[in-house]
Amino acid sequence: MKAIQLQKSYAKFAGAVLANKLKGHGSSASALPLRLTELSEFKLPNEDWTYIYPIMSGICGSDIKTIQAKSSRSLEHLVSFPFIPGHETVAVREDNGKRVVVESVLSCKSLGMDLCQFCGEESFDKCQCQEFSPSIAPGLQIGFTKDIPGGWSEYSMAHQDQLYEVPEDMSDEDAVMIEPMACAIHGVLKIRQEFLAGFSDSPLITVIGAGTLGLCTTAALKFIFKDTVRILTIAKYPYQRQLAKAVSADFLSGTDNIVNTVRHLTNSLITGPSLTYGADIVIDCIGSKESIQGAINITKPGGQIILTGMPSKSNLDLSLLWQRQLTVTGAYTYSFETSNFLKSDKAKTFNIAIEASKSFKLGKLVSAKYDLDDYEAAIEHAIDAGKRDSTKIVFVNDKTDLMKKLQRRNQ
Amino acid sequence: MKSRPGFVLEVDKSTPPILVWHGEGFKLQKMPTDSRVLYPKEPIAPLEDPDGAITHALDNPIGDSKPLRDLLFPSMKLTIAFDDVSLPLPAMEAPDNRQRVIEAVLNLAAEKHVEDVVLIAALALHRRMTDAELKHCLGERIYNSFAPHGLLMQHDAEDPTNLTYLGKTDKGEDVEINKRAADSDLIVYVNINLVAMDGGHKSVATGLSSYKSIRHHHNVATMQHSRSFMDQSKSELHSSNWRIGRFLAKEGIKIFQIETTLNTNTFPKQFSFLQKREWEWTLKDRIGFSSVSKALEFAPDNIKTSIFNSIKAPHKLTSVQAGEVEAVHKVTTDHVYHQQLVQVEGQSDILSLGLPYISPYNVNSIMNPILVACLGLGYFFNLYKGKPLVKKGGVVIMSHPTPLAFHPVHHPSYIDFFDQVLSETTDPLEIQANYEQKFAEDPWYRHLYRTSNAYHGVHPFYMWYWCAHALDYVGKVIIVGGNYKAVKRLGFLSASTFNDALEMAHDTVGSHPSITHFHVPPLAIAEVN
Amino acid sequence: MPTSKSYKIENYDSKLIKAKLLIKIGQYKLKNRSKLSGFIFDEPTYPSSIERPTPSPKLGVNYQTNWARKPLVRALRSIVREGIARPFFAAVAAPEIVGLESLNLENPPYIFTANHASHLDTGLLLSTLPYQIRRKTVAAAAADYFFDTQPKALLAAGILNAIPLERIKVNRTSAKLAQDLVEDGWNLVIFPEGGRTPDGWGQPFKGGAAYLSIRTGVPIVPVYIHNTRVLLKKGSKKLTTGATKVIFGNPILAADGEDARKYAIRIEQEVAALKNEVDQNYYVSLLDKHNMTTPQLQSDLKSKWLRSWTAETTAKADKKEIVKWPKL
Repeated sequence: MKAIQLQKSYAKFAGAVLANKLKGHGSSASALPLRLTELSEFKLPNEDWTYIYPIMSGICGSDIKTIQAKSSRSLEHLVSFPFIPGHETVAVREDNGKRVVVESVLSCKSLGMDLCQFCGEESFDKCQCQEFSPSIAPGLQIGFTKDIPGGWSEYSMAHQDQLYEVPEDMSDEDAVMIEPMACAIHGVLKIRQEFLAGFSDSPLITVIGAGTLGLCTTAALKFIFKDTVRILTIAKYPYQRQLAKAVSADFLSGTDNIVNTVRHLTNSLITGPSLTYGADIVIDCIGSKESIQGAINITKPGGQIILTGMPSKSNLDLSLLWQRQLTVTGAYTYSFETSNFLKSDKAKTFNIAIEASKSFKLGKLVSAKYDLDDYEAAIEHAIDAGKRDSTKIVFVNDKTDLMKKLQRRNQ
Repeated sequence: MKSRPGFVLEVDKSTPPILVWHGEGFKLQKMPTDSRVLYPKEPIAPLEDPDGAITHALDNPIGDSKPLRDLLFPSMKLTIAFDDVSLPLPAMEAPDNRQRVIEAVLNLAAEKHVEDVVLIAALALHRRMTDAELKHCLGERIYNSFAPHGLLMQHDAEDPTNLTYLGKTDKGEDVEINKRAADSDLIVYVNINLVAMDGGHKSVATGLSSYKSIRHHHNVATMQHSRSFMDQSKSELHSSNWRIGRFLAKEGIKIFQIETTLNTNTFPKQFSFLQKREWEWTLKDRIGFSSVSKALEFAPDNIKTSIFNSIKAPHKLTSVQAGEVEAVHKVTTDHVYHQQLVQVEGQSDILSLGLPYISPYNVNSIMNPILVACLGLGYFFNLYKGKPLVKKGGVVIMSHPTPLAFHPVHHPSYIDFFDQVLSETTDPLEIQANYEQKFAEDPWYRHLYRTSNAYHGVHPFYMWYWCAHALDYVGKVIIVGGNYKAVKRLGFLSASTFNDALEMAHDTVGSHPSITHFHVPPLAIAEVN
Repeated sequence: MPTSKSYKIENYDSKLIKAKLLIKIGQYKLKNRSKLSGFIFDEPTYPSSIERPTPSPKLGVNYQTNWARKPLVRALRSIVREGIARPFFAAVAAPEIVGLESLNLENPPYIFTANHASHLDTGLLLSTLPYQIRRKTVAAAAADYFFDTQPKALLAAGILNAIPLERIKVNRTSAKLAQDLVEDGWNLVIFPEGGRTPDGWGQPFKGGAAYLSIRTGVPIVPVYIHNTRVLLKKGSKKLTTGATKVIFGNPILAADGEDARKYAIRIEQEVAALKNEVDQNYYVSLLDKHNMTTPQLQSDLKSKWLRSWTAETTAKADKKEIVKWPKL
């Protein structure tokens, strides 16, 4: 089978880092430790798993960071090389031919181990046991372990409980946005009521970043809070501003006027790098040093910062975090949600995401589709997505090909 | 100095290229044949003995007023208010008119042993002046006598303890003015009347008033009904100010108005070619032009800004009159018209403007895109009496680099206005309804206005309202040589050359439009028949 | 998004640079302290059980200026005075000196009492005195202003040969020092107004100089210094050049039975007469003095602006350019 594989080649990683340093963003994909290969078939880990044929699989910001060797080494023990990336996947099930999306996060349950305390509570997102599976090499999610191919491939696999059927009337593009949307919803539902109760009748929630995650978060905020909050989205590029507006951001700001905009919206005064009031909640969807520092500066005293974008090692000035008594909450993947902002007591994040993606038609965020053969162009495009007026870049497999393969198998 | 009248030149094949301002620089532009160029009147001769004229004016007031000498008594509260840094343009060579007049007033006050005298810069919602600007406008001697004792104040329209609410006019306009001025036995207002819009009741009714009061006449409806605000008889802006002024008089506020006019001698010797008619340029002028414009081409932006900001104009006093506000202002306006009025026969399809580096609101500062729009569509477009120079639905072509730059200290609210308001809409009515109040009441802008040197939060809105009449009237606005992003945000079209702009105008005004170019400097008012 | 042109806000920038420099110095010090720290390199600390001696105040009126009158320091100062100060004042203030002939150079000391308008006054007066006098002259300087910190005290005593004088309340130490020095043959320059004029008008003369003169029998020379306020006034940081005048009156002594207060008023009258001489001429000044119509140094105006305005009026009239050298 054809797949894009990420190898652990120190020379190539070094090359990636160097290229990064020299050129900043926009480094050439050929210098990256990726290759398109033909691989023999993977075995299913156990009988609860099934093969799936990816129709569409997105390139995530965390993929890019891993490829460019920008992600933190603290996560290295949860990754096993060489692996086939791709955790935002729409696929067809081999066993019943239905269209599904994959909840990629791996846990005791999907790995077929005795359930840890978190998995017992169905908080699969909090499970830390991926390193200890007897059958599968360590992997944070599908698409990070060498034993399970991710979505950038001709076929992949998943535990039955990880598969969610896509409604008939939903396009593939809308469906591929379900996984990032689930991340966004999970982040948004980390908001705690007490932080919203503030000075103003209509709390201000600031979303830093207007890439896939930022836009999904903006949409998720609207989906969950309707018009009870004001949403300010910080977008770097004009194209992103338009999209943010389309997913119903109430206010927009460029990156170099953030403090001023938040100041204006919250009737604050500027004091040092910070404000006398500030946004009630700030959701950072970038994870860079600048974005987190910015978040600290613009959050109201006693407010909450949610880190949805994958952060890394960075040198931050935390004196204001301390002095303004902020709460920082991390938000990783998805599982079950028990927030009091929901109607039901407990809901699967993916089910909320499917509804949300449908209602916002998030498929419009898919800006370009590439065949696996064009992977270099695809990765380059994804690295420069913002600059090139694009958001989500996806890999696609030929559907007719796929159907043929499916039929052949079933026969 | 012999002053030739202004006139309208019909361009023919032998007309040399015309000098056109282009922000911090200028260029020569060949105008199409059969287009017209409006040349202003040359600077008229100044008064020979300005100080003598001032003394004479103070002793011989116009209208229903006693001589200043007789209005002063030792135990009185005397407040001397004066126009701020926005006048004149560019700042004049020392001594400034205000210095001359106020020194004369103070000499009388000292003679009468008036103990309680306060000077107030009538800022309205403008930025506070710096010490250097105050010193330049008042002279060291006045500055040294008042500033160290805290007796030289700048009007603060956001200090509730320093404002007196006097009531409403019969049209419901709130009247609120500076408390010290309201409590004074006499306000002496010292004005510089550069254009016909300035002065009269507007001096106190706007200059010493608060947002609460100013919003009644600085709004879209008023501006759209001022045709133009340079012509007081047809200006709603002025009617409102006059109502407030008469209300003040009725409330017993005594004002002794001193108004001065200047000739239009705008640039010092090294820039003399700017004020000459092109066909009269001597070798010296041509060398001057080419060396200056070459130098400006290569100079970095901040150096260009500081070169132009350092220019002091050799304006000279042409008249001074004192006494009762309305009577004084009538004479003043006549003097302004005498210098600036030019007769123009008929309107044209296209009005072409070269916008200079300076407007009333960027003295010693940076001309940001909003001020470019205001200078072109607010000021120059409105420099008419009767009918606008351009036909309804016509095209205005302005030349200015329109850089995407703001002065962070002087224009903080402009940055947000440009970023947050103009990105949503450019419709003045919508802007007024949805955004004005938020900006006007923003505590940060208020803080900067009161303690720093920032324009009031609402000021960029007024700049946009200033354009309202033109935006309503004109079919298309094209900026030549402007920053594409900035021009687009303003809602205008951007062209790289004048000919491109003409090309772009075709679908609005047809392929053989009539063109009038407004030649500045010096300033003029077009009386269009 | 509009990018604001980087605009230089002057004060802020220079302060920032200074702050950065201080940080650099601090870092350097810290670095080196780690190498050379602890006892031997640092002062020893006191054991808690041992009582620390109370430190005696070394600044203000208690500042010891003896060192500044040692021969070596005097020699160095004379180099600064003759080589730097006098040429400087000649260039900046171009003083016109009148009335020195009334001093008997064979018979010092004298107490010079002058009006006070500018920081330039002390230096200017010291540099215009005849060599025999100026080589042995001390200047009374405000203890709270010039002797409040070590570096300021060092400069004041070292360069101006200043001695600290309490200007608010009578202080035995400072009065005694001045008296001792005068009795020892030192000339004294003193500004009886106790401080620079805030608005150009004179302030009442205090009795210190008069008291000293009565106690020691040393004559007082009234001096009027003209126009230094225009060059550098109180509160201003900008020095401009201009022409000044230093005019010396005849030495006077207290009459029999005259107390310090009355004597001080008489000194003020003498200085006022000198001012009159500058403003009018010698003869008018004499007449006015005779008729008791000399214009006063002080103003009886209460209105702040009127005081400033009237003072500014005369100041403006007197501002004249000095001839720059070399002439090109």
